[in-house]
Amino acid sequence: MNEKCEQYSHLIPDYCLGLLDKDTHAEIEALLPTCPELAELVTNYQDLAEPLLYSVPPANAPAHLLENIMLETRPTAKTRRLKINISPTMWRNLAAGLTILILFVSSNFYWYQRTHDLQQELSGLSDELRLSQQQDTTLAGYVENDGDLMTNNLNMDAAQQQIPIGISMNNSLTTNNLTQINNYSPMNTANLLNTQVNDQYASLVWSQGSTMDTWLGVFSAQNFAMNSTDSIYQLWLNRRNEAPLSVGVFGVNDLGNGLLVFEVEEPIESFDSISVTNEPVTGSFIPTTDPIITADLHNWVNLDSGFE
Amino acid sequence: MNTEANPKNNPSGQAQAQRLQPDQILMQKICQRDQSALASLYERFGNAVYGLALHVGQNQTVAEEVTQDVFMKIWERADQWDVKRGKLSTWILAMTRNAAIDRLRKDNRKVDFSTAPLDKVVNLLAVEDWQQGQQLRILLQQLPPEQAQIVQLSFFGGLSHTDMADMLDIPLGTIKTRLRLGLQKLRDLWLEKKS
Repeated sequence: MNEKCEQYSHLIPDYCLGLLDKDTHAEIEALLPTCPELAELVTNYQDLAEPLLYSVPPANAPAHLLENIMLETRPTAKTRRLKINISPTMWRNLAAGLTILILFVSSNFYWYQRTHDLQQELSGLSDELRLSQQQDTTLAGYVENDGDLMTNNLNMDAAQQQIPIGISMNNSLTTNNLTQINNYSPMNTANLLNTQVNDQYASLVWSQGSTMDTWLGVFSAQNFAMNSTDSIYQLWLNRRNEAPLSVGVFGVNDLGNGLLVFEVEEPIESFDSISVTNEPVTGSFIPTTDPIITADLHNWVNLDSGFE
Repeated sequence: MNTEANPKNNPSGQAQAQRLQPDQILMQKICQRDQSALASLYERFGNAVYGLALHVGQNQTVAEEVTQDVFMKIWERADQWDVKRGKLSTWILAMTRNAAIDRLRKDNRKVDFSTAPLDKVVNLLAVEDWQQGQQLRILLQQLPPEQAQIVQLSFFGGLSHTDMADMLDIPLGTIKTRLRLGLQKLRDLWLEKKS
């Protein structure tokens, strides 16, 4: 018997009793034609294997064996199987119920998401409004408060927010000489004008100066497009049948925010409108482009009555 | 009326139908986790299983553990018994033999087999099977002792030729010859007895 045949010799009783797995049984079957000794073992055990099992007499098994077996096989929480008979109708009802539940949950989830998104949007709009109001308040504060405070506040805020302060056309007011605003005292009510074109916002707050012969204006631009290196924004005061009066030029930072403080010798509310145009970096005597933003000055709001 | 053709009217057919049915019903109940059915199975085969386990393992403690293992396997694999492949008693005893041999291998023990004297029958498996088994046992005693020993080592010990040669310190060729001759003679005697 060669090694392979010898390897299977001890499995021949199981082979004859039909106890081997399919693969092993097939392996032995395939070997038999080439292993005469293995085949002889099969021939002998074919008739003897089963009766040999019964050739050993039974013996008295200890009583505790059955108890042990019953203990091992008793039902536990894990192995206990609950038998539920479910009819086809019940299955259909269960399936329908499950479908409705899934639709209900999905629908609720969708509306929850929608509500959440709307709330986010509302929150964003509220922030914008608050910011806008804050700026209005700030602008009003610049004019209403004591000149020193206004200057400091304006400078501080502009510096903090990195908002460039424009250059007014009045030589007495420069970006670095805002202390001249100290001359102004908040004796007169401040006026506010807001305007928006597309996503660009503009606010103008003005008040009559302490000398009563000049008017101070603070113009705030928000979300304006950044200027190119060879252009600048210019603010005009417009009156019908007259050439526009330039009050200053300003640039904006990368957030599109800019500031311009100016003074004029006429009441600002005596003009019809303000407008902003895009001009060459040196400024222009008259507007050379169409206004980016225009606001009717007659729509101003008195801050004392509408703003506290 | 052909009584033989109609199994209901055929006494032996009726007995045969009755003999098969209890085993199938019993195993079905065990599949359904009926402990009383397992207890009933133990009542019928417990002593036979224990006796075979004791014969192979030659150790009482081992025999008890093997018996428990066998009935646990039956509990878990009741669905694997197929009436078409053989009798339930044969399936159980074959499982017992293998479990006992596996235990021997696990313990790395090799046991010697001597033909035990006939004991009083404690529990009859099925009368016919037991009677035939006893006859074969008697025939086994008629073999030369060295051949009987090799036959038992082969069948009840699950040893290969090489294992037996190593264990008995006998040449491999001698082992093969003794086994071949022993099985041939036993088979001849057995077939002669049956006929």
